Amino acid sequence: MFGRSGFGVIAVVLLLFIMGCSQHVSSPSAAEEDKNIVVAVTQDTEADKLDASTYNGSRHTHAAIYDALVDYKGKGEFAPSLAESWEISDDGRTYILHLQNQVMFSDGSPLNSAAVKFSLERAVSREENASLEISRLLQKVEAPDDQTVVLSFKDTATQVLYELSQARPYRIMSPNSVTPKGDVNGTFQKAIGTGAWKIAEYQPGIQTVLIPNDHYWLEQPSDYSLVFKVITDPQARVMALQSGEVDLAGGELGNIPMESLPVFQNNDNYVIETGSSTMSYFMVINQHNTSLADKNIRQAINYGNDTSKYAGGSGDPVRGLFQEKVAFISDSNQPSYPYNPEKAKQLIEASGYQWNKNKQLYEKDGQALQLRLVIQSEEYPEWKEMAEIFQDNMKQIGIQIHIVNQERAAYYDTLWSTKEYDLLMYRTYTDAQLPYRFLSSLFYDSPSSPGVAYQDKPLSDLLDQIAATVSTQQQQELFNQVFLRMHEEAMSVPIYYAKQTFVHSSQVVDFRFNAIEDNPLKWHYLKKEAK
Amino acid sequence: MALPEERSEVMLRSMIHRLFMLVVTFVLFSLFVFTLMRLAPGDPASMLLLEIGAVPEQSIVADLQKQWGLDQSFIQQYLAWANHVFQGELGHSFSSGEPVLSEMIERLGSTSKLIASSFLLTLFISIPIGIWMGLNEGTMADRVVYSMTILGLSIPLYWLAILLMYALGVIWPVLPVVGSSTTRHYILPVTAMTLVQSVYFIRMVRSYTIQYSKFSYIEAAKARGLRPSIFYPSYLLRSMFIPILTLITTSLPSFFGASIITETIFSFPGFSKYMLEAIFRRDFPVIQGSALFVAAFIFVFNFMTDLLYFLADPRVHLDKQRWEV
Repeated sequence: MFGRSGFGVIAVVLLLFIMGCSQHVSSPSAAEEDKNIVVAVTQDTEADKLDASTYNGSRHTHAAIYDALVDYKGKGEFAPSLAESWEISDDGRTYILHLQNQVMFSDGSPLNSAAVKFSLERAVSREENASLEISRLLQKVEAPDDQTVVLSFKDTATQVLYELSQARPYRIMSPNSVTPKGDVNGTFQKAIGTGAWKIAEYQPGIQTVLIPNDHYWLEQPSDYSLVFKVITDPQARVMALQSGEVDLAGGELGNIPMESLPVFQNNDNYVIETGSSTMSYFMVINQHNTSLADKNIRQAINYGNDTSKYAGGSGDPVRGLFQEKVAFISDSNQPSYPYNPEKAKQLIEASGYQWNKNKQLYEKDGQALQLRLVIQSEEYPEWKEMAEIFQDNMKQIGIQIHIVNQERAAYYDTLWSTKEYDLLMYRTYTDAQLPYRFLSSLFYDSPSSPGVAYQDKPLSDLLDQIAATVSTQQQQELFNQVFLRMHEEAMSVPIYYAKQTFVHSSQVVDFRFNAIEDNPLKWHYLKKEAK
Repeated sequence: MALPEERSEVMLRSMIHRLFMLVVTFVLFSLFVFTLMRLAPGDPASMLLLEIGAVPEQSIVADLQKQWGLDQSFIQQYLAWANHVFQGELGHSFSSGEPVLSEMIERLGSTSKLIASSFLLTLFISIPIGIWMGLNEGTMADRVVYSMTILGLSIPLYWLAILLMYALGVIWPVLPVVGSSTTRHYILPVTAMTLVQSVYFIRMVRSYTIQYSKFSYIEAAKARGLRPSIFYPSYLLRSMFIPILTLITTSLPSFFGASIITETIFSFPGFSKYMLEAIFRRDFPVIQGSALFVAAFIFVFNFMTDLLYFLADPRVHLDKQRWEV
């Protein structure tokens, strides 16, 4: 039916087609391409809805467009940003912020107290922000003059600076971003901030092009455009880096799987950058499980958990739930359980369990000591391997672990609603949300809202006291008690201190990490060298 | 050629009957999808809050559920949704707040191009190869190609896609590996889908060819020494039209399925990826709207295939009982 000539013609046509395409690949002019730094991201920026007072879009885009009133420097310290200085009343109910002079939004309009009042009132009016302290307690925002903003709270507010420094929802947006202009309830039109970048082009689900904000006030604006390209599949991100379609990928923006990193190691065309993180991976303990209600067993799990094995042994030694970079954590106030399998076995036996030689595990009343560990690997692919290592660790001390890898929605349902787990792998929040915001979200227990990760009245009482304490020194003392209590009761099982890993083409230079993971890089420093 | 009056009447009655069954199936299907989503673990309000980085506190979750009508009974929710559907609305996405219909239309362009291209290419490649293999059954060439199809059947689409990306995007960088903005962005995804689908088609067409070429009327035609230009289209292909049509119809859902994987790997902002992400987010209006659309498309396609059966195969017309039940 087909002669050889027929196949030959088809082959030639296909070859010509591909050759034609190869010419197209290099079609954008070299000059144009060199002015773009393309970054692979997993999440669409939703740039058309990037209202500073909402959670729309990605955090890093919020942080690139909008500046905060104060910057989080880490370890509970803050640096001036749009507010050059601030005063806090002794009762923690009044915050007076003095704004920087000569700061302009990307549309050329000035930053003043009216813009700050507009932004904060807009954020407070939104229901989804109701759980944040500023939204809960803010009574009024006053603008006595162009450069001063006074925030009055109903009660003592201790988390204000932490929340103001976050990527959202309290960053400052121009009143011109909405219609009618300056209306707190106005309809969002355009993202106008004071940050280093502004949005030039947005293709939903494909990419967002950010161009330098010529009015950027803090440092020299970039000479490059920043392209956030949506690539959801991790392997596709690796391929896109290898093919040169993207210049940079990694971190929370679009992680590169650990198993793919060797592709870029010892390769002159790529650079792997590893930065610190404040996030920790840990196991949530379901204290309603009969075995886990016993403190000895919780402590035994901690003693039997050899954390040096995780991530191919590349992780930092785990000393407690929080990394040392977290506010209020010091090298001495967070006790931890050293790896000691013998001690773990003693504790298990002290709780009446007996070693079954045949099954190689502990039993009590004929029931094996076995636990159901729930994980998800969509957002954190490395958890699967970590769960298997944990399973092996527990096997060494006679505890049988059944790993259940759930789909993301089912996993969160298990954590927040059904509680059908004995152990559940989770992660802490990051930066300024640590430790208070994280602890109050997961470990605070009240009759109306039971603690999600653990229920312990003394711990909740301490968190209540922290919320009412303005003095940092007194807060430190209270946090010391919190960490001690969490350790003594073995309320969780710390697993691994996360890191931020990025891979970029060696053409990209001046790569610098930022202080916070919401805005992980100093994007405006990035440059591209000619090949 | 005008249809005889009796034939037209039978056809009309059977079509009305099928349309009625289609509506019933449609309602049952929508109820099935609606029920399945409510039974699936994961609450849309909590998922939305987690997605945006907020804590799913009970009061906020309850407010969102009320806003979306999820606090109402199952029947109330279904009737409210069905009422909207009858008015031509598919509701608003929980996560974006935008109308589902407009979001779907926005994304259908790239998906329909992807599916249509791979669908046509699959037919273009597999029908001639399948027939050629069938006619040369048992030859070395047939055995080689047949072995290749066995190999092809065992290659998952995901793996093939990555392989193509690596070969033509990294080792020999002639094609872009992600995105959908230009025609060349379609080459790798269409190739991946076409290759995976063609393997199955080739095997089926080959087996039809072997089966049909043994029929006496085909052998008689061959014995009469008909020219290939008459024999193939008028005899062999015509007799194989019904099974090939069935093959095409039944494989359409697999093209949709393949497009979900393809769009995810190649970062296509298409309809299939939109539907998959909605499932992960438990965005009920989007899931229900998308499922309804896919079902409607397949139902209409099947309905049109039935019409073609009727027109193409006289036995269908003669077998009144089959059509009148």
